[in-house]
Amino acid sequence: MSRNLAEWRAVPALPHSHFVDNSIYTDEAVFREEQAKIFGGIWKFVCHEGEVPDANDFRTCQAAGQPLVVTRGEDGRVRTFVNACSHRGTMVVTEPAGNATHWTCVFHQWVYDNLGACVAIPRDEAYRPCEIDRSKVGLREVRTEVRLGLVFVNLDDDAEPLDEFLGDALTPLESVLGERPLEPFHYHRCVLDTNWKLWQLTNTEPYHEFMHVYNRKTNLTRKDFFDRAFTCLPNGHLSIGSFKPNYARGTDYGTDEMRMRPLPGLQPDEWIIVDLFPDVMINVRTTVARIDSLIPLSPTKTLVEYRGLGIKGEPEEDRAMRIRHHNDVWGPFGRNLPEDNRGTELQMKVMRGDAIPYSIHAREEGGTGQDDKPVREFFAEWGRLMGRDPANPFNGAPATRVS
Amino acid sequence: MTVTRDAVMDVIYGSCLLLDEERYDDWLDELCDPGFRYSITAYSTEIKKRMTWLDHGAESLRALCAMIPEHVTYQGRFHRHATLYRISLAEDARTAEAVSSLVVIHTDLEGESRFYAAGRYNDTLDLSGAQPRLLARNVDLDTRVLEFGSHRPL
Repeated sequence: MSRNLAEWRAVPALPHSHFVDNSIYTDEAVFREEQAKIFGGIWKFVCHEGEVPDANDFRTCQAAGQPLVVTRGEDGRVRTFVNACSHRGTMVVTEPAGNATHWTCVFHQWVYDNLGACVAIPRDEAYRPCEIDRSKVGLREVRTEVRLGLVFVNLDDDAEPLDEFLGDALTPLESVLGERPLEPFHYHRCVLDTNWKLWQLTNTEPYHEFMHVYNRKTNLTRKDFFDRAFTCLPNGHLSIGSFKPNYARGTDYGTDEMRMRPLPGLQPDEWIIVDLFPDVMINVRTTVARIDSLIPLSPTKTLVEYRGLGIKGEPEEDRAMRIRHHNDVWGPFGRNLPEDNRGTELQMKVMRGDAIPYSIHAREEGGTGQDDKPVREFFAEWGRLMGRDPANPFNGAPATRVS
Repeated sequence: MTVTRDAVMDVIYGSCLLLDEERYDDWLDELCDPGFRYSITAYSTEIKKRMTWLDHGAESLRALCAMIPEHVTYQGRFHRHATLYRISLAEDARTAEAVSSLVVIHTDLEGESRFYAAGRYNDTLDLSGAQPRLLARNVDLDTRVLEFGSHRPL
């Protein structure tokens, strides 16, 4: 039976944990608050260590809207700086990646070394009356830690240590990511017309698997597939692992190769997913590892970064297999990724017009199968950090939606 | 050479028309060799590596295209604009390498067109038969930030 307007806009008769007010996906104020309260204070994955393998390698990235440069010093340590000249705010490093011991700001030629020190200022004698000298105008360093090859930064100098933030979240991946050095073989980005949370939730709730013809043909008719259990961890993290899809049901998915050459620590056909709050998914499917991470651009626009990882120095044949397995499903021209893109954009097409007031996360399967528990845990952490109830974020006041 | 150039242009531009019309079987049957190899690649300045995003032979590509109706896709159509820049004949003149500039526009069902990708077709053609046929096509993309992924070959 269809519903009239009052019925449509009625608050769902559910616990607040089981639904959200969709204005949290479109509201400008919420977006700005997320940048400060979530992305400005949590440990954010920014790149893989394999992107700065050698001394003086650097890689530019972003966190909470701030441009950063990650670099490996000659001492082997990975450091991160805000990519902004101390003088008048010009971006200093303008290439996505490279190798340099020093960076020169193009505007007024101030020079910084890759330890963040300002080492040259043209005609600096003019600053002496104001007692400005090079020792006082170094780059702003950002806390940086590396775990299992994943580079995390935190813009808050007083934030909890990374290990407290992660807890045991990475434990299921210790062998896969840590036993042998990995490196990205794949990196691409999509700018999606969607809210960042909608992408992360697509990587959190497996109920959407029915959208994927690949999944329907390989797993979803197996009753035991839904025995998989979710482990919801402190600080909003999640792991699903391990479970074993049956690739033999597919017709062209490289079944034998997947069985014979899994990543370190994995059994043939094994699949592990770890989501790190707020914006990372590490998806390890037998032969390949994928990492998604997000750069929220606006309430309704999100830059998604996709990485595929292989074993550093592996034989060419193995690398080619891994690339094929990654891209046939998760590449930009693969089977599943375009479908996920489409699903989240279709949500935003509706939500930005204020056409649907609530989303429901009410599946209960005892923490297994396609339970919405991971989504509820995500929003519990979101609510804790934001100081807002996702089901009633403005205490009944109107939101300031984007047009 | 003029005849060859015209024949090669017919294949490249004809392939654009067939792909735009989503006549994938016709494209493979009429313009591609049975041993045809298709790849999409790009160089990442971020990870400093050449990437392969798709790599298929004729039959697995045919199977992939046959599944498009089963997929959730971005509706609408692609428009491939290719311009043949250079043809290099092999010494025996039985094969040729052709480089074409490529721009792909996507138009949704409501008629809104958006730039999708820029790159090149790097084609290898067999000239030994009555008409040239594609032995291999590498779509080498400059664009690495996409509006969305696609199930369709470019």
